[in-house]
Amino acid sequence: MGKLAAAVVRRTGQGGGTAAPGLVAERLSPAYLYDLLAAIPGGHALISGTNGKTTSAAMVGAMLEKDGRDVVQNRSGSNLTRGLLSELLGTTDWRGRLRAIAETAGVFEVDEAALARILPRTRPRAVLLTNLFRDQLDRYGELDTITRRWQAAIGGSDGSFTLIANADDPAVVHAVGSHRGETIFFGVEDASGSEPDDWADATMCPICGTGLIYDRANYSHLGHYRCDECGFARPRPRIVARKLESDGLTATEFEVESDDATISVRLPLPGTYNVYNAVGAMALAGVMGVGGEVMRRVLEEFAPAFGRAERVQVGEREVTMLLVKNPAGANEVIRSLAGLEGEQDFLVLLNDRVADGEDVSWIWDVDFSRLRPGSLVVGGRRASDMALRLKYAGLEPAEGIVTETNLEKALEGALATGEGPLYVLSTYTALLEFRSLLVRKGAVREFWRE
Amino acid sequence: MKLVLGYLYPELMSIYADRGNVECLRRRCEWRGIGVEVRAIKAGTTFAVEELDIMLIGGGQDRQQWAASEDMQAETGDCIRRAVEVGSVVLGVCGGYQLLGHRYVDADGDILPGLGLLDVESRHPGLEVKRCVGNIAIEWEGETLVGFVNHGGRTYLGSEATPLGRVLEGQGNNGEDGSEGAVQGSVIGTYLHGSLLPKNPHLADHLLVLAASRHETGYELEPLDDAAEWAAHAAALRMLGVEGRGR
Repeated sequence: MGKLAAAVVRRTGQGGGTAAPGLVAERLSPAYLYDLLAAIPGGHALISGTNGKTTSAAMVGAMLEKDGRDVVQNRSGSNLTRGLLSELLGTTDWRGRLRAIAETAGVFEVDEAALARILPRTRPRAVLLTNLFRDQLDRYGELDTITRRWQAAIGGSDGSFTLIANADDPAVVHAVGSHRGETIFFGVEDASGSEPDDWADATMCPICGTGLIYDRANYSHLGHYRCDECGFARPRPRIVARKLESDGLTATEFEVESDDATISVRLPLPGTYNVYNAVGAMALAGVMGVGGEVMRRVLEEFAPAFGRAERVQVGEREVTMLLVKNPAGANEVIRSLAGLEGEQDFLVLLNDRVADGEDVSWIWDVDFSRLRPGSLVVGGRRASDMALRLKYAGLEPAEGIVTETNLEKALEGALATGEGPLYVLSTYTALLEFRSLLVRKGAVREFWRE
Repeated sequence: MKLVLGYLYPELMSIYADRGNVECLRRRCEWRGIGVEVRAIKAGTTFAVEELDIMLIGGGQDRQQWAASEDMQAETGDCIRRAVEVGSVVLGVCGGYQLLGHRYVDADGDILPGLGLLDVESRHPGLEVKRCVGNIAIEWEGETLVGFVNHGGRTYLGSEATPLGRVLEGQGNNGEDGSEGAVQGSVIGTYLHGSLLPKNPHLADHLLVLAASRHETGYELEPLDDAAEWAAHAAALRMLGVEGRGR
């Protein structure tokens, strides 16, 4: 039944049809997803957290493939139970049984709120937890709520899986404290970090509520922290990235050190946040039996996931798409952009659909003042909110901030100003719309067919 | 003239983009050539009674709200109350609004004492009751205010406080009496964030006039080009299907 829905939805071209068939199948049989997950012969891994899920999952999937495994994964980023089920339906035979060879492994990114529901019903080989930031309060609730749910789900499990957790995130470390099995911590040792600025989310000790002391903050509240009151502190990570060198938005070079080896990597992605993604992915792939050299090769050839500094050519202009969806992620993207020479041309798109977060107030927690725009066009359903935010950030490009709610006109306007690269900062659904506009213009392929 | 803005408990109470309100007031002073300084008043900080012209307090997560409530019962809370006695202007949003009242009773029935600057009490009706979440427009002084609300607690006004406005669309103080926010003297509390002040420049300027009149009676603000502000205000009204100003 679900398979039929997948075929129908994909053929009628409804937005890639990434979750609809799963939704149908889930209604018919809620246990079906867990039966299919259990049937994957090479086991499966789950990846969750606020930011970095899609990129980390893409890295792990590519590492397993390069290692000769068949991989089933929810590449489109559709990460609720119905999205996972839709993906698995694509690998079932006509009887609804999993069509898989012995080497098939599963890699699934899971929405951070959905993880607590999925984990008790499945037996993954490993679970990677990237980070916890404030994200879409209207949908997810507060950070503490998610942390508590993770704690309960992890503590309630039999501990049969390996947990891979970000040592630099106090909220994650607190959440995994109840794990009965093996935990492998990863972290970043020497990014050019500083004190956490007042844009950070969680700098209170998760145990006793005292303010955490940071020796270094690498990215929002991720860093080297301790609580002098109760002794809660960053655990010593078993796998760490060191010597980070940034090459603008093009690449980041670093060394990864673990018990048995040190590997030098030139990752063609910007930002400390992508180094976290890479180290987490390496730790997870290691648990799944992938060797270091395979990991290095995959990372060096890595093509960005949907909207993660993804570059396309549109006519004469190079267009870089940067997904922004919450303050922590957006501030990191802006930090990378602030490192570029001279002025840049920007198109900023803000939507307020459910997947973007209906509450757009988060844009006021993003430090846009660090951008140096040569030109600036804003679009999306809440374009006027974004225009206002950028005005109060003090951005004054020569021709002013241009507001255009029609996406096609916004793109034309942005392409017509300037001649260098165009940077598109966009929320999730606006980026889906933007990308299908580029598909119509023939500039880019549909992402679910890549 | 120089105005000093106190950003109360920025480390605990600034979850709903409350820095947008601070940024808005700061810029609107700068654009008019009014001197302005923003001072972070963290838990445990004391300040002189005349020091702050405007105090802003935002929303916090449960645990942070507990910490702020506790601190309000000590020196910092005394400073805030004394400053209000001499006419300092206060804007509290969401959790900050609740803590300007007498108390907040959480979902477990535990009581968080507030500052008692507004004659209001907020109660959480229990976790099984839906939160008030969504876009909102209210009528305020014959004009509209727009924003977004997301709160579990319900707020009820006593006789000393008057509602900030009347709900036109969305959920206000408690979803029962059609009121939103509270005003008492120079203290204003509201559930509207978004951020609130940038999209409601008339309210932002109202706060600045109140603060400026502490230094100079009858102070008049120089008008600004608020086309972008009113465009965002009008877009929010359109989304809710509410009539109002959209210059």
